[in-house]
Amino acid sequence: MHNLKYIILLIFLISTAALANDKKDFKHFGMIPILSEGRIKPLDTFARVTLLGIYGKSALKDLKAIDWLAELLFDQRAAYHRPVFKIRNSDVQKALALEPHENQIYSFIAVSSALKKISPLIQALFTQDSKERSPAQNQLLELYMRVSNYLEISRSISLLVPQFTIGDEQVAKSLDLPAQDRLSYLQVIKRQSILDRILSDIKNKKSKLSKESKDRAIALSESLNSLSGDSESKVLRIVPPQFEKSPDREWVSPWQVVISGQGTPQTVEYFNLWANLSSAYFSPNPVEFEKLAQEVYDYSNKMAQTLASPTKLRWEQLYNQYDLFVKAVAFYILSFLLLCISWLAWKGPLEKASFVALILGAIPHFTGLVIRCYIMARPPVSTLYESIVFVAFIAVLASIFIEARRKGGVGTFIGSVIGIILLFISFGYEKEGDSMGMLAAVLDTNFWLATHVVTITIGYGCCFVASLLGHIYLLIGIFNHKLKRTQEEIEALSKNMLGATLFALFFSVLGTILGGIWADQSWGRFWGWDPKENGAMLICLWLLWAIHGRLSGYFKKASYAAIMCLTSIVVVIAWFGVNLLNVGLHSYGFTESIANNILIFTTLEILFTAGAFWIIQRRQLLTKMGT
Amino acid sequence: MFNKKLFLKLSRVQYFFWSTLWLMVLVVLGTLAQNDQGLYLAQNTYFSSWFFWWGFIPLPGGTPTMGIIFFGLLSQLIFKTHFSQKKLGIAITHLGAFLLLLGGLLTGLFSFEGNMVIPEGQSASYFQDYHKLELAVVNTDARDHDVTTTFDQGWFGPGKSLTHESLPFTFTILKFCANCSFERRTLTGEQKNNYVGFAQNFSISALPLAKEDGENRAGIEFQITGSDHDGIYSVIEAMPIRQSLNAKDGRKYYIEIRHKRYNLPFTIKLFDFEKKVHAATQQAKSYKSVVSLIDGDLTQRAVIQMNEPLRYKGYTLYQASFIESNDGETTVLAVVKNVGRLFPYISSIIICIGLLIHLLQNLPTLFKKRS
Amino acid sequence: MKNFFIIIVAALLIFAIGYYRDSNTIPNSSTISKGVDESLSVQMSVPSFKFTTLNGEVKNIQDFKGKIIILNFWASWCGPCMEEFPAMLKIIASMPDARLVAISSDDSTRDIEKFLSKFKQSKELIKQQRILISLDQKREISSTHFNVLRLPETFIVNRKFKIIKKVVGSGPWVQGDIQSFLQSL
Repeated sequence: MHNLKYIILLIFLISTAALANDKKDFKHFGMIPILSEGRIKPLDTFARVTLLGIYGKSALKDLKAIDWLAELLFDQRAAYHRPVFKIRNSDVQKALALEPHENQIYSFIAVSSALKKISPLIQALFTQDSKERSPAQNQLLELYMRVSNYLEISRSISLLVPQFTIGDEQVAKSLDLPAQDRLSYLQVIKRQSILDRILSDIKNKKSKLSKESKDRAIALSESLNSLSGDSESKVLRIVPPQFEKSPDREWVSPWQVVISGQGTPQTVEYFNLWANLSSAYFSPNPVEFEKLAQEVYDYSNKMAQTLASPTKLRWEQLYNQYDLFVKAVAFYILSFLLLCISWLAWKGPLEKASFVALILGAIPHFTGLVIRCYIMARPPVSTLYESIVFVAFIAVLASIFIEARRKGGVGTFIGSVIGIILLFISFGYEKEGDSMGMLAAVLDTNFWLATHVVTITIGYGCCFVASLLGHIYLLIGIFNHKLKRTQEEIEALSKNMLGATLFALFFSVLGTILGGIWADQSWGRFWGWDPKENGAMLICLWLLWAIHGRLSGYFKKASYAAIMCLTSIVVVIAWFGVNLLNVGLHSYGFTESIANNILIFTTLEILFTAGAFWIIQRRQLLTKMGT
Repeated sequence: MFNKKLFLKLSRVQYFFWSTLWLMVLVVLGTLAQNDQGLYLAQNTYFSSWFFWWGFIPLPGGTPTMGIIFFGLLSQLIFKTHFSQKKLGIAITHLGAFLLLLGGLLTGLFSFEGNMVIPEGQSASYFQDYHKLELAVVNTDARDHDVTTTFDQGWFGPGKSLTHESLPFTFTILKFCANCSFERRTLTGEQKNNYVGFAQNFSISALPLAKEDGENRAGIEFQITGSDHDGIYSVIEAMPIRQSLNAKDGRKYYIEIRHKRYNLPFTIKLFDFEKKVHAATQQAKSYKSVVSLIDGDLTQRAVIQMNEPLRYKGYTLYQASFIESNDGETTVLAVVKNVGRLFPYISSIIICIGLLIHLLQNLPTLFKKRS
Repeated sequence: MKNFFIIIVAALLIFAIGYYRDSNTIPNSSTISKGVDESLSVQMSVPSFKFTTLNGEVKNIQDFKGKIIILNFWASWCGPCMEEFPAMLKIIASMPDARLVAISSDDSTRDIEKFLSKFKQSKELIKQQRILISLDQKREISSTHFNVLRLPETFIVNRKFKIIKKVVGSGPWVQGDIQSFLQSL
């Protein structure tokens, strides 16, 4: 009996190990460098961004992006039947005459044949101006583009994948090609002129072939022709420039290599490796695929020389895999929960534990920023997405400092709340595409990014910390009969608010002026009164106004805290709101939801601040009247 | 009369408090207005003006508001600031802020800027203001140079009479529109003789100003007396056919309305404009102009690119944008002459130092360590 | 009053520095970014292959190690091939250690001979074996070894037997760009 248990356990272990080996490890396949959207990135990132554009998420329910890409390249039969196109709009569904499917996700086969049936409509829609089309029509066209992109990627390596078998001995002999081997397009097309002669002989009835052979020859020619449309496939730019190794030169797709005359002995070798890889995809032994993928990867790097950095490719793949900011948010949530529980029981140890959780969250947060900085070779504040993550980190860092000095959980509260909110907002922006994109020419300067943008975002972070201190002050003001904080503690909190304001003022003013200096260096105008500049100025003026209000006696303790609470609105408007002005408030989708969210946030903040302030004033009035 | 008491009063922090609050309101209103009116108009209405209308109520604009802040700060600096150790940080900060505003004032009053459009292979020695207009009367008699007399935009009021000792004839402005449209018109016999050239076939009428100031096309209709072909002429910006006429003594002139030109004490010749895109995209990576700076005997090759301007003789030339056409590339350079240029740099350092000193002095009290 | 002087002095100082700096009569030298050295160690080896010349001799490309080799893929029915051939002849005639290996995708040697008959100068150079012409009807050399699909495509091999440049189409030959490049080798 005893032994039986062990045998079962052993079988279980072996089977899971075998199961584990059954799954292909796409490690080296994911690292293969590709030029996309202006930079060299690993195939893993390309797969995620492409899937994001087609499916709406960067991973399918049961399949990672890189797995999906491999299937699309090597096994079209399976890929074309996999449901990946989400069509939520019912008008679009009706236009395509698609049956309602579960989750409204459709396969390529279903959607492309539906689109083909209405292709005159599609053609007509393309000629129209986008403003004249209805939202459903725009979505239809957008779906068409997604489907075209899907098709284009799937045909990327059709020229080198072995897929033709001649079969007929006579035809094979005339072409001097092996009859029973699987040949690729390139291997067959080199006999094009001979095949053409066979076909013209058939046409002129001069052919000496048997009927089956004639049919086979015609069929072979037709299958070759059906691939000629694939020569437009440009998107899989995996072939580096062969002779001029400059970062300004384009990488090309396999089809482009032969169409535009870039074939060399190196591409011959490279294509052979890819052909072997495509065959290994169907092998029952997953190790074979990984080994050949490594050969492709190594050869690709050898061709690219300095244009691709193996270290950066590997680090980007790891960065994609480990989702560091999600891990950071998880720790921040843990920290917040522990803090909340600490208010009910076990104050001492849980408060310390929540602080530890905050610090643990800051580590992947910081690491993620550093890795981004290394991969992109620029400060991690160049896009709106990056600035959100950076501001969150600054706020967490400042909170750790506050907590270390004054203890009591205030710092942890601020850090975890800001960290959670901002990182969740950032996840929304991550969905827009490749988060490591290229910058417009005027922004592409590391010096000013590192000085102006970093300073201003540090300023934003400090503003949020100050704002949250204000919230805490008001909340303590309301609930102090339960919390029983001493006068000294409240006084200390008030001083902390002033300190945070000064930090925020320092960085905001410095950052704004640096922005002006950058503008002066770039186009000769220090101050142009444009929305972004006005937004930054608004924050500086607000902070100055608050401080001088306090110094002149206009703002007593509680009112100052209220002003601090409202600072968050000012920052949000200056940071996100100004982006909306340029686009126009009536565009659909993401921008509309940003505008709504800003409105909701502003309303909530004002309600809270006004409400809390009113309660405190009333209570003070009552106590005054009472004495 | 310089009223010391009033000046002293301005130093009270209440003035700063309320004027800053109003300035914030202005910034919000002005930024929202930019969406509809465009940057230039909104700036003029809210920020550079003395007052603006809100419905029927006149409200103070940017100039008086910032004026109060400026003089309040100056007053505070002179009468109330003590450079003592305890308040050193704040004192330095206020000094820096004042210098920043002073620089802004100098820039606003004395600087001018515009752009230069140079096709590849050609050169230019003047630049054009972004907004201001001028009416130019050019005498083309001399073989190797033209003599130009210009009238600034201030002269463009209806009924104004323009003369100059160098000109043998007189202008009387009939109509000026900052943005105009033109329509064909048919004139009957006698009327026809009064109008000459373009004005004979087209009438100009005012349009509302465009959001982008560059899209505005200005036009003037005027009467000429004293030439050999008197009558009513009209010119509009960038018109294809020059309006020309002769003086009674045969001297040849042509007239045009254009953006105000500033002559540079040197010439810029464009050798080559280069634009790089990110590989396999349409996104611009960098652009630069390789130019030759010619000043008398000095000829020097220079490169003007994004974030790297050319500075010479008080002028700074920036790579602003470009025009691509079938004939070749044209660079557009922004030119600025700004005496207040250095103020922001130095005042920002001063403000920084001041705030840092204040922060470091007060850090222990503001963030007390828990016992 | 002391403060007043501080302000005036500071303002004048900044103004003076700015004025002095901006009125310089020597324009600031801007950084002219160095272009990337584009001939970065491209060490592409020539694959070994055999080819049969028009008079039946079997040669290996390795036989020509040490010479400058113009490896040209062409066909008689291709217009640009006709355009570029005279320029190639001229180069071979003027450079004693250059060789032209011209691999044709024609159907038969008859087509090649018809083409060559239009270029009398080629006869002597072929005799001297400075031009070698081969028929590759099945495209074994062009496609299998070099991924060449369209014509004309030419590889330039240096004396160290490395491929250093590829020329697509007849343009650079006709315009004379290649001559100076080859002479610099």
